[in-house]
Amino acid sequence: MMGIIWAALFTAGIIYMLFTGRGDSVLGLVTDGASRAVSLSISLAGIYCFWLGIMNIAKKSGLTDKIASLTAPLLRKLFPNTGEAAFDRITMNISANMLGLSNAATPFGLQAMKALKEESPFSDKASDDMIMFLILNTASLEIIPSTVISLRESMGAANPEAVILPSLIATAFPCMIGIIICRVMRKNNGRN
Amino acid sequence: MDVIKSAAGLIIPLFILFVIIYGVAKRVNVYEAFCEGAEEGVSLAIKMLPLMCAMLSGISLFRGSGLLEMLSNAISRPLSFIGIPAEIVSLFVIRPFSGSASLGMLADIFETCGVDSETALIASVMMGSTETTFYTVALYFGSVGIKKTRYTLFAAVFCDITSMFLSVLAVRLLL
Repeated sequence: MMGIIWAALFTAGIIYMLFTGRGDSVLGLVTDGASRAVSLSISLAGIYCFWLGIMNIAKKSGLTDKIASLTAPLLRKLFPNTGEAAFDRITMNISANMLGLSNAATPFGLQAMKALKEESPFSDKASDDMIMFLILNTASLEIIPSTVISLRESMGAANPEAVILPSLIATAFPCMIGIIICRVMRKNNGRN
Repeated sequence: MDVIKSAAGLIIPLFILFVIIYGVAKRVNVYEAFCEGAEEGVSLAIKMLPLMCAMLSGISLFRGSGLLEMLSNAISRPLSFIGIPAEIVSLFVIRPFSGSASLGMLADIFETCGVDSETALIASVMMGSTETTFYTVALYFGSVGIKKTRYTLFAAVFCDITSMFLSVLAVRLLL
């Protein structure tokens, strides 16, 4: 599916550019995106290194276990058959996301995917656990959407944090719906 | 409300402080642990580059060609009949593709509609309640070589659409 979207992006883009006589700008646009990918990867690399470093301290001191034990009981209901290694990382990723530490959450998320891949019977197909995990991530369960609040404040909003409650509602319901969809699809496909 | 505002800004520095102090208290060599953890960031970054390249080059092309605008205009016409502002639709179309582009669009909406306007509030709520779906899917699945995502995109896009409608509802009912 991702492949189709990606192919469609390029196909539609290039054809339209050729059609409107701007074929010579195609390479420029593509290069622009590609070089932004480099600078983004580099700056993200720095941030990831930082958070992974911090989180490793937390792991060594037993703090991650403590944090995980808070969210674990609830998450266990969504991941009943997942192994410990993957489940630990899933818990940390979700907890970090909820605290608004999305840059810290991503490395955990990627590690969780790796662990889930090892448990998965498929080689290039997504397992039900992976999908459930992905949906939890894309539903963006942030208790305090700090980025948006900071932006609102910097633009002089009268009440920057007014969006907190509506955001919680707008994020909680779709999240639950996503979970329900995943459960239904899982049942229809048999286990994992 | 002031409490919440200061809370948002304090969470990160307090968290970092807490982790380090807790680590020291538990007699962990925090510097060593940090470096050990940070090492993993390098391979992560290397894995990320090709994925980012794929997404960003495609998005840059799609946006620069003007197709993105056409697409959102096409969708916003019917949606405006049920009361969803055109700007929200544009934001919704770009949101799953690029976090920075959507933040840029959000700032844009603040400037053109006023940061306290209803449209701006709806946009803010939507930004806070959604994720960069396609980017996340590409990154997470790509990092482990998964090509067949099965029902992921269906569920994710369904959630995003619900988020959009709920953002409009929540703002209109609560604010």
